[in-house]
Amino acid sequence: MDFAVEIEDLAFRHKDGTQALKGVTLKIKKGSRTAILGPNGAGKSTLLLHLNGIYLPQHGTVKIMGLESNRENEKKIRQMVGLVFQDPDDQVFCTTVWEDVAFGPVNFNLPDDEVQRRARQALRAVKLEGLEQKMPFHLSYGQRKRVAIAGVLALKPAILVLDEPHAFLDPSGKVELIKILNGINVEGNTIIVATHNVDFAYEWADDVVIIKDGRVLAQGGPDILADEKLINESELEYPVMVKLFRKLPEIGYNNIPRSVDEAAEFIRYKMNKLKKN
Amino acid sequence: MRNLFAGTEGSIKLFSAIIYVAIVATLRAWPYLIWCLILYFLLLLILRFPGYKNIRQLIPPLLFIAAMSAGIMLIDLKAGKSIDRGLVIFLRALNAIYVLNTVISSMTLQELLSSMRSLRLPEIMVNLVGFTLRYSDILSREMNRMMTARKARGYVPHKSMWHSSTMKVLGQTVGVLFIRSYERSERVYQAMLARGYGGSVIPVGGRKRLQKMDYIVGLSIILIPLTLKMAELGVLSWILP
Repeated sequence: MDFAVEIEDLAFRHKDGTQALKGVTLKIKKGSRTAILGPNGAGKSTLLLHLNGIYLPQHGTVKIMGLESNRENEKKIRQMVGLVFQDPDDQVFCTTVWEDVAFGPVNFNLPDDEVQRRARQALRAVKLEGLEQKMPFHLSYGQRKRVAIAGVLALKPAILVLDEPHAFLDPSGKVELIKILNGINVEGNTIIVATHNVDFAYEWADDVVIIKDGRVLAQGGPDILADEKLINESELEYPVMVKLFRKLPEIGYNNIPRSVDEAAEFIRYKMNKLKKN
Repeated sequence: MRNLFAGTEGSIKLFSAIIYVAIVATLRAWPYLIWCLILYFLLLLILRFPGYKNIRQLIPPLLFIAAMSAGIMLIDLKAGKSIDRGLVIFLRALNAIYVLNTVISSMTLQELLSSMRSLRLPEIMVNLVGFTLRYSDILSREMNRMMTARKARGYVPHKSMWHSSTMKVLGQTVGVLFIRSYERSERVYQAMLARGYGGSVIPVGGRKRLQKMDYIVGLSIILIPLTLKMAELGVLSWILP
């Protein structure tokens, strides 16, 4: 099995003495959609900064596409892993949308026509064509978030990492974001999302990693989010679908549906079955 | 109608403005300084640039300069001298501020930064200007959010500068803003590193090709103080019959 990310016993202590990671071990498959869940202060953001080579391991190893993260490889790793920060105002800093999207490719010394091509493609992917010359600070929050994603997409990373992508987005912004992520994943890219949103993780992810206090509590399919012991231990909550179906054991189910569409189909099937009887 | 001044290439305008300021700083007679201002204003009108629009922006720096000049005038008056020295200082400053203000306000931020770069100004200075202008907006929004949150909890600032509670709250707000700015700067730096930042912001795209009109505008800006300087030195009387 090919892995996009392999982390072995990773530990990290911040300058202020906080031990953010205490021996994280996990593997993420190439082309997968992985959600990293955990309460505030679990170490999610610190872990993400290791994936991009911003933080280098103080203990343990991090391998990205088989390449070990160290001072020598950090630039290559930054080109392979695109990191979208939680707050677009931390990331988007150029005077025009175009300049910001082109910032990454220019830093990696790509030729001018390639920079132009990538910036255009990235803006098309996030549906921001026509806003190239706008000042990012004058755009809406959702649009700034899309500029931040485009700025990372322009690097054509094999792995896209997003920190709390849903934060402060309105409902239509969230729907748009999921469409963008799915579009990127279809092209074979690995997507890793750190989030508090259990509903999103349950519906969208192939693989779920739960971390708490700087350690991995569990890793597996989205069905681990229906595990009562794990949910209590991780200070998370059940996804809405799980909450609903746990209250209706009389319906009789093997797997809890992951989305509203799946649930509707399942209920319709059960109702038809009842009518026939 | 096309605004010819705004359409002129940025680095030419900036370079001409710097030369203008440098020559104006050597003019010694106040009538020449007033003529300089009038001719520059007329040039802007010919180039279809509304040079009167940003006058209000000049008030804060001019108040500072006016206070200094007034001080010099008072000292000179007391010593029985004329007020020319203070007047000249004020007019030199007015010329410099007005010319730079019109040039900068005729450019986008991107244009200003690339013009500074093409004039080979130190990279650190260009980046400092860029980041300051870019993030002043975020900081003012952060400040406004804090002020709104305070108002929502019933806080009403006292109008007097000497009200201790108001001063304490203001001090705390500025302190928090400073800490938040520092934390944000760390996150911004990390985000820049994540996209391959290696110490300098590389400009995107090539420079605009210079046209004949760019040179004409640039030369016109420089010729105004240069002609007046020559007149002040009496050079014109040698040339003109």
